[in-house]
Parts: sequence; C-alpha cells; structure tokens
Amino acid sequence: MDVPAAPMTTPEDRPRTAPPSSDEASVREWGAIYAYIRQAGRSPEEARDLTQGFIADVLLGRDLRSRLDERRGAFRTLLLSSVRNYLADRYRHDHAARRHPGGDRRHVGGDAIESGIVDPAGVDPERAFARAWISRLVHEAAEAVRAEALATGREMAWDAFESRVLRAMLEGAEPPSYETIMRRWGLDSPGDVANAIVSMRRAFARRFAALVGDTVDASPASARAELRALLGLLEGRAS
Amino acid sequence: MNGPSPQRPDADWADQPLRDTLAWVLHSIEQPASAAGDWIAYEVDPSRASPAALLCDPSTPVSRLRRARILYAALRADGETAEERTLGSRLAVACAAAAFLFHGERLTSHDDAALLASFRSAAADEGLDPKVREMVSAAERRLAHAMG
Repeated sequence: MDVPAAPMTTPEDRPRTAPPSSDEASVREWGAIYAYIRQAGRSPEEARDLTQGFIADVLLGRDLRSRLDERRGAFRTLLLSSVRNYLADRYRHDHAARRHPGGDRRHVGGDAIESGIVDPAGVDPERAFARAWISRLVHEAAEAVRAEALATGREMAWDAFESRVLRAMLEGAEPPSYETIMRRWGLDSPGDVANAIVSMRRAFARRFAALVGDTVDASPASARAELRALLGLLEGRAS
Repeated sequence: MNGPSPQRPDADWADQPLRDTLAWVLHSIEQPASAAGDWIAYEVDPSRASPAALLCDPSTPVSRLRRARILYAALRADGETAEERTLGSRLAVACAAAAFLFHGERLTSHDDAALLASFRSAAADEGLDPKVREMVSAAERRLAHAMG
C-alpha cells in the first residue's frame, strides 16, 4: 500500500486532555483517510484529491471532531463512516455529472472508479484504514517517548528501546546485542540495559494508550476497549 | 506479548508488527504487574514470551538462565514499582531454581540453607505464575532431598 507520507506535526508533550487543533487533526488523520480511499480503488492522484477534499469539506468544513458524541464510540469509527459516505456522495455526484456533461467533475474519474486500482496485497479498505490509523498512533507515541527521554537525559534508555524493541519489531532490524549497547554507553551491567528497556516499554505503552484514549473519551476502560477493537481489526475481526 | 512472532503463516504477515505492538501495549495496561517479567524473558530469548516459557523448559541453557537472573536481579534492585521489584526478586530466585533443577548448577553463592529458604519463599508467592511456582517447588524438593 503506497501511503504517501503526510506532513508530520511535531509531537508536543501536551496533557492528554488537550484537543489537537483542527489543522493538526487534518494532518494526523491524512494517512488513514488516504489509505481507505486508495484501497477503495482510486488512483494515487484521485485518492490525494479526494483526501484533501474530504479534509476540507467534511473534517474541517463540518467540524467533524466536534460532532463526536462520546457515548457513540470512537472518533475512528465516525471518521471511517464519514469517509465512506463522502466517497458514495462523490460517486453519485460524478455519475450525475456524466449524465449532465456540463456538471462539475473536478475530482473523480468515473472510469477509474469502475475499473479500480487495487492494491496487490488485496486488503480491504477498512483494514487499510485501520493499519494507517494504528501506524500513525505508533509513530506519534514513539516520537513523544523519544522527545521525553531526550529532554530528561535518558538517551541511553531511548537508544536501547528503539534499537532492541521498536526497530526490531516494526522494521525487522537485527537488534544490537546487550554488549554493543553497554559498550556504546559505557555501562557495566546488562541489567541497566534491561531496566531501561522495561522503563521505555512502559512509557511507550502509557503514551500509546493515552493517544488512543484521546480518540474515545477520558476513561481508561474506553481506551482499553478501543485498543482491543484495533487489535481485532488487524486480526480480521469486525469492530 | 513481547515482540515479533517467530512464525508468519499467512498472508496477514504484513500486519504482524502492528499486531504485536498492540498486543504488548494492551498486555502492559491490563496486567502491569507481570509485564516487566515477560519483557525480560523476551530480552533473554525472543522466542519466549514469559518467565514460565523461559524458566520451566529444561532445554533452556544455563547461560540464558544466568543472564536472566542478572536481569531479574536488576529489576529487583531498580524496578520502577514495588510490585516490579518483588517480581524481580522472585524471578531471580526462580532462575536459580531452574539452573539447579534442570542442570544441577548453582547460580549463586548462597549456602544450601539460604537457597532452600529462598526457594520456599518464591514457591509460596501466589503472585507468581503457577508453572513457575511448580518448578521452584520441584527444585526445593530436590535440594531438600540432597541436604538429607
């Protein structure tokens, strides 16, 4: 799946209750919106145009985030259904325009919709959306933990966590040995490396859960439920 | 719960890293007391997802048990929470128990009486995984028998 890199904001170590600005939100959700539209069969160019159109017309234009009723669930599901509806509207609009050639066809090429450009991996659009959504959360959580570690003089801890856990897990990189990390940082005991990794894992998990919590409501139970739902989506279970 | 799965049997393998990440984050939130023990087991042997998997397998080499004991002892000394420090203490003892039970080797300089007392204490800790407690109990019985 070719999800172009959206311009990333600089993560701030803000309190978890502070909502992101609208501009920031539009950037943060860009990848997931694009992934859905692209995997729904649009060409890269069409998908970019539709993504930008959705952000301008719906996400920002209708202030989608403010319409979230916390009792109804996650912002993720509201966003997903809104993207789905937007695509259906655009499809109808485009076909009406084809029946009336004077109409506005600035975004969608009907042939492309009908023929479709399907990712060889064959994942469905909702799963592509979930994958991009989770990737963004992982990226933001990692960036926030990194910034916090560096700001508090815990460079070694971040290095150990990033090289032995994050890169190994997400990129399949060969993790450096404990001895390599100990030499790099002048440490005497492998226990120092292990404790640093445990501490960073915990910090990452807290940060990730807080980011997930920001997309539902403030309760830890909701964040846990959303985490389980995200895991279920990647495991092919409906959510 | 810790890292990449050793096998990727289906076409979903591309999502496996994200699934693994979500799984250990969720595990950390739902079972914070045991998460640190699992992560250290993974640090020692990425194919082992828990202390039970690492310590209760007779094929785990002594070198890995020795490394695990050092890491759990470090958790005992410098863990962030009291629960983590207690867990580190118990699992360091469990490493010594596994080395004694499966390989007949001593990882500590404790005398028999002190080692037996530490085995008994760990085996009685209901916070430990039942499989680990069972293994430590077996080591305790073997040591008691050897002591006559």
